[in-house]
Parts: sequence; C-alpha cells; structure tokens
Amino acid sequence: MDNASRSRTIAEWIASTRPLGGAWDEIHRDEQTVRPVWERYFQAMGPLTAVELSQRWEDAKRILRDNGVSYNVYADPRGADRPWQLDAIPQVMEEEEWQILSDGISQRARLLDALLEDIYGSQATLVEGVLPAGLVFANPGYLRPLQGVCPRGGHWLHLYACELARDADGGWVVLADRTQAPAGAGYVLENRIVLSRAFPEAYRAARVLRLAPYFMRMRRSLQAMGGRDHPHIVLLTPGPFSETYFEHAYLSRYLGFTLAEGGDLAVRDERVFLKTLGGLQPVDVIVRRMDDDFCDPLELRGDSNLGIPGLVQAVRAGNVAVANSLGSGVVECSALMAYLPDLCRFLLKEELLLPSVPSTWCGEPEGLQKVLGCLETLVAKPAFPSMRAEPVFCDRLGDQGRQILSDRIRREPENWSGQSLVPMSGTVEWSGTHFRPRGMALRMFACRSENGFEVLPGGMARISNEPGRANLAIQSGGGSKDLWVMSPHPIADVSLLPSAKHSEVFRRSGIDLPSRVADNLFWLGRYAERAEGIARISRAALGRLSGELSLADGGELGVLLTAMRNIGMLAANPPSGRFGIEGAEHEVIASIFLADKGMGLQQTLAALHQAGFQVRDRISNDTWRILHHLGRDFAPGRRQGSSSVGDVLSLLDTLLLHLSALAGNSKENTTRGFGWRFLDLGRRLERAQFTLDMLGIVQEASNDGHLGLEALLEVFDSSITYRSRYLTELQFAQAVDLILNDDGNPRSLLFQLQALGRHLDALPKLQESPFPRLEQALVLQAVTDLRLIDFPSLARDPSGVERTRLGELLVRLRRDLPTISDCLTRAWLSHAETTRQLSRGNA
Amino acid sequence: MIYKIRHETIYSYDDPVQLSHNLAHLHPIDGFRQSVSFFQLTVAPEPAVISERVDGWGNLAHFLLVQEAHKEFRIVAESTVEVKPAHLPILVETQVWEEVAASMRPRPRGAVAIASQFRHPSPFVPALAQAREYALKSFIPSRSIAEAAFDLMHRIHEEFEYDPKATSVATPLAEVFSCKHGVCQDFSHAMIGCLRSLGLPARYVSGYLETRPPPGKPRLVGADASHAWVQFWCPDWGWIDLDPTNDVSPSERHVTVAVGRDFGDVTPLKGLLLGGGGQVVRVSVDVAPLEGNSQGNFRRMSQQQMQQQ
Repeated sequence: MDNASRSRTIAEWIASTRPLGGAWDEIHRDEQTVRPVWERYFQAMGPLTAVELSQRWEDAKRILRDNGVSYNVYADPRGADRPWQLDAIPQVMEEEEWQILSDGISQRARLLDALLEDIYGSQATLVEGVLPAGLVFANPGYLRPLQGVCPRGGHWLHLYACELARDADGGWVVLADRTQAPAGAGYVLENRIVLSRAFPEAYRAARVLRLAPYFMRMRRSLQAMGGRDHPHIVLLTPGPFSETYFEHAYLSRYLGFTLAEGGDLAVRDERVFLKTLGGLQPVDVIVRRMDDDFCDPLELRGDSNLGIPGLVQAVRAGNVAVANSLGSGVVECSALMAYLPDLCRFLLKEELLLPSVPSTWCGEPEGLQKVLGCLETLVAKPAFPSMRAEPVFCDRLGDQGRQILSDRIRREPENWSGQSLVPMSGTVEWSGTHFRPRGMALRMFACRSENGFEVLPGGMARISNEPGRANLAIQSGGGSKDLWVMSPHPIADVSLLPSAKHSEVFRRSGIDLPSRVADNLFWLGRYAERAEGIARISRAALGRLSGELSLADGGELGVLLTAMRNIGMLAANPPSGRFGIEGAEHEVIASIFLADKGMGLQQTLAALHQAGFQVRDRISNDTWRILHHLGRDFAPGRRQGSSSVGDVLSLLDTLLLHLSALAGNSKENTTRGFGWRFLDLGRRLERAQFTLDMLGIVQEASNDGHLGLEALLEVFDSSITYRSRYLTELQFAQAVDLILNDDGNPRSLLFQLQALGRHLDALPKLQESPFPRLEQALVLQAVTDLRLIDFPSLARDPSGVERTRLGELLVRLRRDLPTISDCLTRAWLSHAETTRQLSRGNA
Repeated sequence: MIYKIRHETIYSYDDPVQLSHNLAHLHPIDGFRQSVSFFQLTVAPEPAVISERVDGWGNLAHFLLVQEAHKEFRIVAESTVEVKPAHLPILVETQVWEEVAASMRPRPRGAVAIASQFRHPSPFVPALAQAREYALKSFIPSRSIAEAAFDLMHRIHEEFEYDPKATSVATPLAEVFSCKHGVCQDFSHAMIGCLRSLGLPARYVSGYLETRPPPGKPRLVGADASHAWVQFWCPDWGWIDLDPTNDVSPSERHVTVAVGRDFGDVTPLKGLLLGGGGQVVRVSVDVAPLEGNSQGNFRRMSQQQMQQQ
C-alpha cells in the first residue's frame, strides 16, 4: 500500500472502484453517485482508512483461523480442510428489498414442499401433464420406497436454500434450489460473528437485522416435529470427511443438537436410537445433512456404509421426523425450473413471485431442439444433481467441443438442461492491500415456521472474479461475503438463550455420550500423550546433541537413540552415509518433520488434530484453538531439513507448552463426565505404555551402573524431584522407584495404573456382576505386583534377584496394557460392527 | 387354476447373527388376474417387528426385524392363489411400436404417464447400445408392438443359453448381452433393456411356475425356485406378460408375486445382518394345484437349491 492509499477512506476507495464490465452495478447508481444503501453503510463505517481496515481485518482473519473454520475440499493437495474465505466488506441490502425477496423465497419453499407431497402422493401434476413424467421418473433423486409415505407432521421440506443473482436489469432470479440438505447457514453465522466483532460500531450503526431469532425459530420448529417435551434431536452428518463438516459440528453445538454419524444410530422396533455408553437412547428428530439415498442401505442404496438400516421403515411408521424428508432431493433439479410457474398456479393457485433463470429441459423434444439451436449462448447443466457432473459454459467450447456436447445431449436428452448465462452483479472485494472488482451471487436460507416458511435476514454472497460465471458450489473455492440486511428501525438485542419459561429439570453429565465420541476422546488422550512423549525424548536427545547439556558422556545420547529406535521413532538401524553427532542430528530432526513416520511427531500431531476434529462439537473452543495451533509449526513442508538444532529445540519447547495447556484444559475445564474419563483413560494408558518402553531400555543399558538414568529422569520431568530428594549421584533403585512406584509422582507408572483403576471402576456396568472385569483384574494385579517389588533389596544389589523380578514384571505389563486397551474398545467403544447384505438367490 | 404355494428360505450362518433387518416380497399380488384367498408367513426366530405395506406398484411387502441372536433364519411363505387365464390382443392389430414410443415422450398424461416410469433405465438395467441394436432386429419399422415383442422373446429364448452357473446376481447386463447366457433373471433384464432402449415401458415380474407339468406338457425351466419374467406396455390393453426363459406368454401356469423396474425392486428377500460370518442359503419352492383342482394328489417333493456364498 502506498502512502496515498493508506490514508484513503474505504468509502472513497470503494466508490471509485469500477465494476467488472457489463453487469448490474451493486454499488454505483451512476458515474458520480453510489446507491443509498451503500451510502448508509459508508456512514456507519465512518472515516475508516485503508490502513485501519487492513489491521482490523488481519485480527479478524485470525479469529477465523483459530476457530478452525474450514471447508473440506475433496482431493485438495493442501490437506483435508481449506480455510474459509471471508471478505472484510459485507454485501448490503435495504430491509425493504429483502422483504420482497423473502416473500418470493418463502413462496418457492412452499411450492417445492407441495410438489414433493404431490410427487410422493397422488402424482396429479404428472397425470394432468403439468410436469413431464420423465422429469420425475428418470430422476435418480426420486426415491421409490418413499412413494405413498406420509412424513410425520405432513411436511416434506423444512429447510430450504436458493442461489440468487441479478439479471442485467437488476432483478433477482433464482439460479438453483437446494432441498436435499441445504448447507451454508452455519458459515453465515460464523461470518456474522467475525464481521460484527471486527467492526462493532459500524455493525450497530448500520442497524443490521440479527440472525439469532431465525435460528431460535428454526430450533423451535424442529423441536415441534419431535412430538413430545424435550425431544431428542440429532444432526446426521456423513462424518469429518464431508465437505461441510465444520458447519455440522458448529450448528449442532449452536442449536444444542447431538452430532451423529450413521454408525451412531440404530433402528429397533421401527424406532431410531442413539448408541451411547449407557445403551440406546430414543431419537425423535433427525436433521439430515447426508444425501438421502445414502441413508438406509436396506431400502435405498445398498452400497452405502454411512446409513442406518431400517430408517425408511421408521419414517414410514411415523416414529421419527427427518428434516428434510428422505426423497426431498427430487426437486433439487435444474430441469424443474422451466415448469415452476405452471406448477405454482396448479398447486398453490398463485403466481410465482421470484423468477428462475430461463431454463429448458432437453427431455421434451421441443426443449431439446431449443437448447441445441442456441447451445453457444447457454450453460449446459446436468438435469439431476445426483449425476454429480459439472455445468458446461458452452460459449467457451470450440466447434468440436460443442459438437461432442450436442451428440451427448442427443443421446441422453433427459439428463440435460440448458440455462441462460446470468451476468453476475458487480461488487468489490478487499484483497488485503486494495479493493478489486468482483461478481456476486447470493445464497439465502429459509426454514419452516408455524405459518409457512421464514427467511433468514442475511445470507452468503459468493464472489467470483469472472463476470457471468457464477460458480455456486462452495467447493470450487472463492470468497464469501456476509449479507447485511439494514433496517430503517433500531434493532433489539436477542440471544439464543431459552425464553423465560421456567424449567425445573436439572441434569448432570450422563451416560448418553455416543460411543463414537467416547472412542475419539480416548484417542485424543492417547495421541496427546504420545505427542508429549515423543517431544520430550526428542528434546532430550537434541539437547545432548547441541552440546550445551553434554555434562554426561555420549552414552546418555546412545541410550536415548536406542529408545527412539525401539519405539519406532527412528529406523531400526542408523542410516548409512553420515556418522557420529552429525548423522544423529540429521536423523532426529528428520524424524520430527517427516510425515511418513508412524511414530513421528508430525504424524502423531496430525492424528491428534484429526481425533479432535471428529469431536469438534464436544470440545471447548479454547481446547480447539490449542489443538489447531499445535501442529502448525510441524505441518508438512513447514520447516524441513535445514533447521538448526537450536531452532528445533525452541519449537519443541513451544509444542510442550501447548501440550501442557491442553492437559491443563482437560484437568481444570472439563466436567468429570464419561467423556472426560475416556480422555483420561487414553492419556493414562499411553503414558504407562511409554514409561514401560523407556524403562525397558534403561533397564538393559544400566546393567553396569546408571547409564541413561539422567535422560530418563529428564524425559519424565522428574529430575528436580530426584535432586531435591537425594542430592547425590544417580542411583538406579531410587530413580526407578521415583518413576515406577511413587504414587505421588503424576508421571510414575503406579500413578497411571491407579488412575486407570479408578476410571474403570467408575464406568457404567454393562452386566451386573460382583466380579471384576478382565481389564479391572489386570490393573489390580499390576498395581499389587508393582507395590510388592522390594526396592531396598534392589538398592542393595542392583543386579540381583529383585532386578530379575522387576524385569519380568515390566515384560508382563507390556503385554497386559494392550489387552486392557482392547477390552475397553470391545466393551465400550467399538461401533457395533457394520452390517452386511444378505446373499440373494434366484432362478 | 387354484394353487397352493409354499416358498421356504433357510439361511445358515457360521457365527451368530445379532440382528437382521429384512424386506420380503413374498406375498402374491392380489389383483389383476389373481386372487389370494390365504397367506401365511412363518418366520423363525420370531421377529420383533413384522409390518406389512403396499408399495407404489401394488406389491405387498413385509418388513421383518429379528433382534434375537440366531444361527439359522427360516422364512416360509404359504399361500393359496387363484390365477385366471390371460387374454391377448390380436398381435398384428396392436399399435405400431414407434407410435407407442412417441406417445411416451412429449408430455404423457393419465395412465400413460404412470406407465412411462418403466421406460427409464434402472439400477439393474442400465441403458446399453447393444440392447438397442439387438432389439431393432425384432422392432423393424412400423411393426405392431405385440408382434415385435413376441418376436424379441423368441429370439432371446433361441439365442441365449440357459446356464445357472454362468451368472450371479452381480453379473452386469452388458456381460449377459455379450456372452448370451444366464438365468431367468438375466433373460428378463435383457429383454427389459431391449424394450426400454426403444423408449417402451417394460416391467420385471417376480413369481412362481407350476412345479409339476400337467400330463403331456413339458416341465417349465425355473420351476424349482422363484422365477422371473417380463411385462410390456400395450396401449388400450395394458401390461402383457412374456416369459423369455420358456418362450411362452404366461397365463395360468405363472403366479405373480411382485412387479417392479428390475430385480432390485422386488427381491424376494433382502436383508442386512450384524454378525453371521459365512452363510449358506437353501431355497425351495413348491407350487401345486389345489387337490381335486386338476391332476393327481401324489406327495410333492420340493427341490432344493443350494448356494454357497
């Protein structure tokens, strides 16, 4: 930014930015003046300069990053999730204009609901020829098992979204309807939080309509579908690899629903249940974010591993409400748009308020002729979204490409529709240093309310740098903007807290924790502890390599390297080529940064992040922020190779600090429910395992004295305790006592085993039995054996009989710990196995 | 003709099955040329839930949920069904096939609109260029639809080899076309694919054949298990049955259980299991004329079909 730019107010700058040619200009009324709604926005922003904007926006983007707002992009080389892109400048709209749009959107939602009822009911629209039968029957979204089903509450559509753009005259047209599982409302919320935090004065002054009341009413309407007080509502997600998983986790937390994957739910007696630690809990409403054909492998797609066998039957029996109903994807269909005006008259006896982009279905002969006649001016779209094909901008095709496309359309006309190109309206985007012109389309949302549909007073603007190329899929990247609907009247404050209706229900953390969540928390604990162990041992080794700590001889280092080889951090044999200190240094640093090491730090941190990601809805924002920070310095390609020992040591110090913060958070800020117990079980098991691994090596190395003890105490963070107790040279028995047998040392093995025992005793009983379960018995045995080791005798004769007993005990424990982990997994955590198809025979 | 029908399916598992969800299409259709005077479904172990429903095509399906651990699952469907003879139009007087196809295209109404749902590809019957090529040899220009459909049935019966070992449920239709062999289900899917490739509606029929032939008549192929054949849509007449496996137009010796787009819609029994390990299926079907109804009252032995999966 040059000096002149720095002091420019953003109002001046935006006003002087010319739009991309030809399109409707959102900002300017003519060459000289901006539109009144933007005038209001500029007033609200005040004399903010570009340099101030830049600073505030950097802070705001940090919030986005730290909250881990992301969008999964399939096959993205940059990893599973891509950071969310939000622009500093909102899209603004007067309440009056929004009201008109809102009427159109809610009518459209009513229309599509009525159409669904007709398609899955009497099919009058088909029999009367209002809608070509092929449009439904050739549509893979038409789910035959739902034919004749009456969904609970009588409605098919509960949540609706649409894509809107302005035509050349500034009129709004719908580019696409979303009825399957409309995504994006969660991102709108997050966008709003970030933007209102970055510009609080402007946000107040602009009198922006609040989003919270919409979500409150949406929740109320979903609750009403449950048919009883305090209905159990789950948000069904395909899982963390789904593109909008962030939003699923975010919305389920915001709305207070349980986030569930297909494997968390089961059907018994034509009812849906959530599998929890305490058994099966009934589910009343499913907010579905999974495509409907995947939802039941018995009656829908048999190859779906994500679904819930028997769900369709539960729906048919009226025992569960699904929003949106199974089958609602049939009307999310570009080919349908051409028939909406007629359908609106036929089904609602109303004129369609909000037009669609001019569209033609090729499944009817005249439609086919029309599309092929002017193909070069159209976007050829797959008629049905389940075909998962990309739209083709035909003006970009050469003669040959167009010929190939026409042949394809002629071969399977039913699968294609043609739509006119809509020139996107012009707006601006803040690049970080300057404003640049962009094209824009809007995604808006509606939900069912007591009387019809209510529209979210806000939305998401999708921006693109090509006029006329609305690429609507969030997946295709590109930025987003928050939509501010500005009211002429002052705005009342609202929050999502329940209304003044007094409740006398009190609760404690219960056993209604989904088994899958417990499983992930367990692994979160294990990976956090594993990362800490690896970081500590790496730090101890590198410290000795840097020479600053080299009081002891190279023997200590040798023990550490052997330990790292034994637990799999380093290759079993030193690589050939480099030798001595330099070779070791290279090897250790490589083990930290390389992604392909099973026990590498980088790999472990990635697994830790992944485990946290899977229970994003269960962990606090603070914990999530720590998790998100954790791996950043070690992310792939971040610092490979050339880093000096000093650099890496300071990275490890920071990492250990973050890991301590994570541990502290789970100790001080986590309710002692079953979730916490599984988190801690994972941690204790992993730490016990690590202790045994380390001790085994020192035990072998120290046959002739105290080799490795120094490093051992350091890795176990117990040097200070030892020194303050003994003030002498290191003794084997005393050091081992501190690390194994001192139940006051939170790093000792006994401490871990006792904690394990307490957790196991506290878990709910699956079967009533007076006897300990196998894992309880193993822990009890281990504690007893450990306490019975005769340490004085070990001190007298460090290589005598007691040393042998100790060795045997360590071997046995190394065998038993995995058994304990397996028992836990089997009894509590294993998703019930996945179902398989019955084999089928016929003549 | 009145039949007593018994259709038994037994699944044996290596390991206990904890839970199974099942969908059964075992109740013969009550309507068209048939009336069902008796039906009984016996299931062991006893299901926690049995619910009955009529689907969009008039089929009666049962949803069964077994929640108790079991190593054997046995389901017996018994019924008494009266089948009336089929009447056919005079083949050459039916509508020209191109006109029928054309009537489906622009915007069909009424019964035609509903029938038109069976002209689209379905999971087991994808659109195949081979099918169209094969069909056009029977569907020569301006031929009447029924005449062409009968000719197509003759050709499939002649040119496809019946071979129970050659295919399984998973064999794709393209392979059936290129190798020209299979069982009733493959023959039916092939014929449906041919008809649909021309824009003509065609349905898959799941049903049974009379087990013992009447004196002097040959035993029909596929009589020892559930059978499958085809229906095509003939304007002003309705659905007409054709059995390409036996090259006959089904009448009183075929009992209809269910109709759908293809095998997947009307599978006699499909299910999802928890546990179970390896499984063996035994199916036996017996379709006997009611005593005194036509011939002898000798004891009927059912044949068993063993299938190792």
